Amino acid sequence: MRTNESAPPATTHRAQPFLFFYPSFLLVAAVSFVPLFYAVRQSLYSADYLDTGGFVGLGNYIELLWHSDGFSNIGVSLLFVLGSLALIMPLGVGLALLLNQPLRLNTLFRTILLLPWVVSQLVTGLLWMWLYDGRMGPIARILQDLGISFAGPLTDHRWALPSLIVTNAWHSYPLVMIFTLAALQTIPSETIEAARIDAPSAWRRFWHVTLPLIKNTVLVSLVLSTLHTFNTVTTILVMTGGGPVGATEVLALRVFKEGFHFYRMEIAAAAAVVIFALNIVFTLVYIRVLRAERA
Amino acid sequence: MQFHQRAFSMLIIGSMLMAPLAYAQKIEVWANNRANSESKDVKERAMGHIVDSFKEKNPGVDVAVTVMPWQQLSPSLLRASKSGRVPDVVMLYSPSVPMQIAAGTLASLQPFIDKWPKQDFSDLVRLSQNENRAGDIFALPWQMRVSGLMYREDLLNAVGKRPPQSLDEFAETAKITAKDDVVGIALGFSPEAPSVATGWFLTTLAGTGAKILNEDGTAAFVSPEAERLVAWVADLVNGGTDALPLNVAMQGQEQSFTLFTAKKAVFMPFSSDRLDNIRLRSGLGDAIKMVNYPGFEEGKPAPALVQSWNAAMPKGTKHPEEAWKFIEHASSTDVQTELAKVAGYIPVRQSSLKDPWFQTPEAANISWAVNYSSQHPLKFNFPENTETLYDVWAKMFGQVLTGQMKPEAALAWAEVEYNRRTAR
Repeated sequence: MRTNESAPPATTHRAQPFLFFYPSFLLVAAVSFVPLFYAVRQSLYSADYLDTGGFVGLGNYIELLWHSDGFSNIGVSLLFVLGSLALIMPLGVGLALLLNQPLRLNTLFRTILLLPWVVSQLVTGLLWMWLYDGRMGPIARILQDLGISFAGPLTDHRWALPSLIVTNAWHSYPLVMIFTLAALQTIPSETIEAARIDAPSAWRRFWHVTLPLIKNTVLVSLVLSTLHTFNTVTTILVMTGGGPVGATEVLALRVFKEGFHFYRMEIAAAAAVVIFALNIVFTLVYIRVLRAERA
Repeated sequence: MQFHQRAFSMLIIGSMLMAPLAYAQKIEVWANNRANSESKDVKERAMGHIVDSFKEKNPGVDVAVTVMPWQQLSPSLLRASKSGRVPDVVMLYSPSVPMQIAAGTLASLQPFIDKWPKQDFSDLVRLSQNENRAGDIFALPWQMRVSGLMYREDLLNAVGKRPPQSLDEFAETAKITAKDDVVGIALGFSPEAPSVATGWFLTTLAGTGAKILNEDGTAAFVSPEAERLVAWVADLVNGGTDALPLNVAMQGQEQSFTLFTAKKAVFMPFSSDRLDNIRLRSGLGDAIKMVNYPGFEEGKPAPALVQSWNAAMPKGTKHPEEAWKFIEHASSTDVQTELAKVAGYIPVRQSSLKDPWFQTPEAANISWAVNYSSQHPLKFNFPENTETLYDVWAKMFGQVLTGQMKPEAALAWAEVEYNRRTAR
C-alpha cells in the first residue's frame, strides 16, 4: 500500500487559504478600512486643523446637513448621478451594440470611442470649459456667426449642472461601452441565429434575447459608473468650483473643499461618511435587483 | 594584498568617511520649485540662485530642496507637524501663513529678528499675514507681488481716456471702451478661483476705512461702503453694456486671464508677477500697463494688496541656527537685488532699490509696485483662513449678480455664513 508522504498535514491544508487571503486582506485594511474607521471617528469629534478635539456625537452631521447646505449638496449629487447615468448607459450600451456589428474600421472606431476614458478628469474639465466658454469657445463662435446669442452655460446657474452632466457622460460612457461589448461577444452565434429566426424585429431580439444575456454585466457597469460619478471632484472643481451660487456643489466637492481649502476636517469627515453610506445604499439596491432577476 | 592595493583601499575608505564632514550640516527646505541656476524656468533659476549663493556663503551647510506643488506645501506641513518629521525651512504663500500660525506649526522668528540692527528690520517689508496678534513674526518674505489694475493703453488712447483715478471713472471708462467683442473689465467671482476678484473687493473696501472683521475675528461685512461697492459691481453687470458682462463676472480668474491675454478686455485686476507673461503672450508688450487700484475718491487709491512667498521655520526643526541663516539669506539685500535682475521679482528690502539697475526702464514695473505698496499699505488683519473669507464673498457676489439677493441682504447673509463657518 502506498501512502502520499508529500501531502501536507490536515492543519496546514486548512490554513492554506487563510495564508493566501491575509496578506491582501491586511493591505486592503491598511488602505481602506483604517482610513474609513478614522473618518467615522473624526466625524464624531470636533477638530482644530489636524488635532482631534472632544466628542460631539452627531453635531458635525447636524452642522453639515441642517446648517450648511448638506441636503442641497446631496440633492445636487443625486441629480448629477441620475442625469449622468441617463446619458451614460444608453450611450455606452448603444455604442457597444454598434461596435459588435461587423463594420469596416471597427478597431479604429473602438479606439476613438475609448479615448475619453483615457483622458484625465483635469484635461476633460479644461477641454469642456473651453468648449462651453461664452466668449472664447468654439461653440459660442459658431453660434454667434449664425446670429445666435450664447452666453456660456457654466456661468448660468440653470445650465451649469446639465453642462457638467454632458461632460461627465462624455468622459464616462466608454467604461459601459467596453463592459457591454465584452459581454456581447460572449453570446454564442447559435443563440443569435436562433433569435433571428424567432424574432425578425431587431428591437425585440435585443429586448428579449440580448439584454437578458448581458444584463449582469450592464448592471456591474452601472454600479461602477454610479460610484465613479458620485465621487467625481476634479472635473467639477476645475469647471465651476461648485458655482454659480451652489448649483453644481456636489457632496464629493464639499468634502474636498472642507478638508483641503477650509481645513474643517470634522465636516469633511462627516460628508465623506455620508457619501460612503449613499454609495453603499446604491450598491445594495443594485445587488438586490440583480439577485431578484436571478431568482 | 599588495601595499599599493592596501593604500588605495585606505584612500577610498578614508574619503568615504571624510565626505560627510565636508558639509557639517544639511538642512531640508520644502519649496515649490527646483533649485537650478541654469534652468530656463525663472522660478527654478531664482531658487537656484538663493541656494547656490547660500552654500557659497556658508560652506559648512548643505541644502536639500524637496519640491512639491505649491498648494501642497501648507497641508503637508500640517501633516508633518503632526508626525514630528518637519523640514528645517518651508516656503509658504502668504494667505496660508495665518492658518499655520494659528495651528501652531511655525516657530517664532522674533528671537532671531531681535538680534538684528534696527535698520535691518525697518528696511524689510512687513506683512501682517506673517505676524500673530502680538506682532511676533513667523515668516520672512523673499518674493513679493503686488496686485494692481492692468490696462490696455492703446485702447484708452483711442478714446482719449486716462487710467481711472476713481471707481466712477473706472466704470465710465469701462463702458466707453467695451465694444466690438472687447469687454471692459475681466474680473470673475466664480468660487472655482475667486481670489483676485475678492482680493480686489477686500482692498478697495479696506481703502474706504470700512471695518471688515471685528477685533475678535468675526465678520463685520454690513456697512454702507460695502453695500456701495457690491452695488457698483452689480450695476456694471446689469447696466446693459459689456463693461462687465455676467458671463465674465461669474468666471474664475484663469478665464479672466485668458480673456485679457487674448486682447478681449480693456482692464484686469491682477497680480504684478504675471505682467511680463501677459505682455509676452498677448503680443501687446508695453501697451499693457499697471496702475494702482482706484478708490472711491480721485487721488485716494485703494491700498496695495501684497502677497508674498515666505520662508518659515517649522516648530521642531533639527537645525534652527542653520535654518535661520537660510531664511535671513533669502531676504537679504544682495539676494533680493539679484532676484530682481534674474527673475524680475519685486525686492522685499528697500535697500535693494539703491542699485542703479532699478532706475532703468526694465525695472519700471518693479518701481511702481514698490512705490504703491510703500505709499498705500493695506492695513488689515488677515483671518486664519483667507480661503473661507474669499469663498463666502464669491458666493455672496454670485447671489447678487444672478439677482437672487440685494447687496444689503447678501452682505448680511455673508456675515452670518462666515461667522458660522469660522466658529470653532
